[in-house]
Amino acid sequence: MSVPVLTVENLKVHFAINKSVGFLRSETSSLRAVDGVSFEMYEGETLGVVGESGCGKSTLGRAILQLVDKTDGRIVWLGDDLGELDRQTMDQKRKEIQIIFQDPLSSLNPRMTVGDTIEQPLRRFHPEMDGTAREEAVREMMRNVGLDPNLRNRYPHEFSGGQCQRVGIARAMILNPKLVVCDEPVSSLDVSTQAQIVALLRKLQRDTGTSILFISHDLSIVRMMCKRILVMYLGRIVEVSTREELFEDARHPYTRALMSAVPIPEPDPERPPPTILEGEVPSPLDPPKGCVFHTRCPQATRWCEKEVPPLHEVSATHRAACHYWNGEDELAAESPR
Amino acid sequence: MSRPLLKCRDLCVRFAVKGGTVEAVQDLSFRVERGECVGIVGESGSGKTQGVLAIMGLLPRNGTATGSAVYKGQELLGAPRRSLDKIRGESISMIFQDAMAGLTPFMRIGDQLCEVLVEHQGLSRDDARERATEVLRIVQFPQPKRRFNMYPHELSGGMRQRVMIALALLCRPELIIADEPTTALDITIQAQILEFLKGLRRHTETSIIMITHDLGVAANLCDRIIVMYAGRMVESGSVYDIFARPQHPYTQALLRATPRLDADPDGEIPLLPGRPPDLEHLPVGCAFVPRCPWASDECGRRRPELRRRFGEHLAACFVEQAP
Repeated sequence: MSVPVLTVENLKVHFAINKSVGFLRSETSSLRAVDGVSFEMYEGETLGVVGESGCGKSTLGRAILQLVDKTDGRIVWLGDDLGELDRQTMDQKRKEIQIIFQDPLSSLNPRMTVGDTIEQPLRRFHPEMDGTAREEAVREMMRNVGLDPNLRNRYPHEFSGGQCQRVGIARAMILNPKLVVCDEPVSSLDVSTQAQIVALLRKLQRDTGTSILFISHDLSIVRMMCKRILVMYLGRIVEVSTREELFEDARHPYTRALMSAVPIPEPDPERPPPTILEGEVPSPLDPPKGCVFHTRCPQATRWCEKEVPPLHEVSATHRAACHYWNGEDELAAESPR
Repeated sequence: MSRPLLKCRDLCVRFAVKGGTVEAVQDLSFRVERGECVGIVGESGSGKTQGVLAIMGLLPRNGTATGSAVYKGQELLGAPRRSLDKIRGESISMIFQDAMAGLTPFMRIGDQLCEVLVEHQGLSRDDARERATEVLRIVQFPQPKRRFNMYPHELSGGMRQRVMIALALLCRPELIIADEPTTALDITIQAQILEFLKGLRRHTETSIIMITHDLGVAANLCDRIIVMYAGRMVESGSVYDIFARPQHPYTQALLRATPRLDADPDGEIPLLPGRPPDLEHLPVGCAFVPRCPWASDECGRRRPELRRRFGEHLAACFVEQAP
């Protein structure tokens, strides 16, 4: 853990939204999907990005792959600012950065056999390989992700969701990428399949040493995959920390509420009810002033309505964007909302 | 115990498909008492949804249901449309996973709510409006008056789900069938809705059938749990017994595979290898054999019937004592 492989600096991705406000008139406003996100990733690291829908986690992943245009900020990959590269150079970088999507079926080409799908990246990036070598690589990759190589001429619709996701993983891994962005890779799968895919990703990560940016709404899955976790809310990082510190000592009220909302698979009538956050996530078209979480925060004060809290350093490996990161004492001193 | 609110016996659901039939549900028997919450858990294709759709008379055209589903003394299967409509409107209501599909997209939510009250309870427009607003408040729908004339697409997923729940509660049903009501929602919204349903159970006598793939949701809401696999009930018992001493290897595997926040995060992930069988080509014996750690030759030849293990606890497995 010395030099980061990926550095994201103050990344902003805003989308222009046209809304009609009358006959032939429209207003453009901007949707702040990602709004000033900075972090680093190290070699061989699995970094988790957690948050609910609309927090910008998928947009963040797509922005790293240059699949959406950033509005501001820098994405530095092994010394290169990806936003500054010309198209050809960027295309070559895609060899190093791959993505696995949430919906396993719709992210595969229905008219292509799964073997051809897995082979495609080799054709594109390794023209020096001949057909036999590619075929051998495809078969080995299929074995590595737990697919029977004899199924290489089948089509995606003949496969279950879990198998399709294995194909997606094989396609991403066959180039030996240095970074794989996994965007909710197990969310659409059944529990038993979910466990299989998580185990597979962990094994591949161990065997290849690739870095993984693991995007998920599910804290219990992220916890199994990642040693470091980043929590997002409404386009911003609210807390980032090692897994242990986050689960033992979360400092942001949103992180705590998120943990408390995960239903525990164990009946217990005595269990206190989870922390219930009021209301819903505000619109990213018009995010709240001050701390973006203050409209739902159980402990928000006037300070939170006025001033955006910076990412305070809780420890060398733990930062939280809450004015009251350091406990209740200060909270008592402030007048409540 | 008095007469159960709902009693299903030997419920079978078949679908005619190209080149044969699919047995989606086979020999499902269970009862729901007043005020009770019964969870039906299982993975996709286990038949949990088709079973309740059959009870509600909502199967698609190529589906047929046999067996019996008696609700307060009245047989629902094959009941005439008119009496089914009456029961569905006034006494049993259903919450679907996809709120967008459960609501009419081109009707204002207020009108959808009022229509039910005018139709089933004979309320006047004004009274209906008042009662609808009140129910929206009960389900913690934000600013119901202001949003009364909105269309479903103008609402967030969480708000739409609340409208669905409001619709389900309008006529004070005795039984609510909830099919994965929180699966499509964010976790903090799921927590809100589960707390609401718990509150509803505390304050009313409403019975709930909760269909879910999430054992965490089931553990927190249900009194009794039915575990389904490949169209059949493989185990049922009180929520405590299912979690503390599951008898069927599938239930055990499902429990182990469920991620939990208090497990060792770096530990080996307990795997349930393989996947459920193809319902069009079910094996002769137990459908779980290919994935079962205990399977013997007998399991492949003969299907184990549901047997009482202790108390009211049933399990369909030849292995007596869980190893």
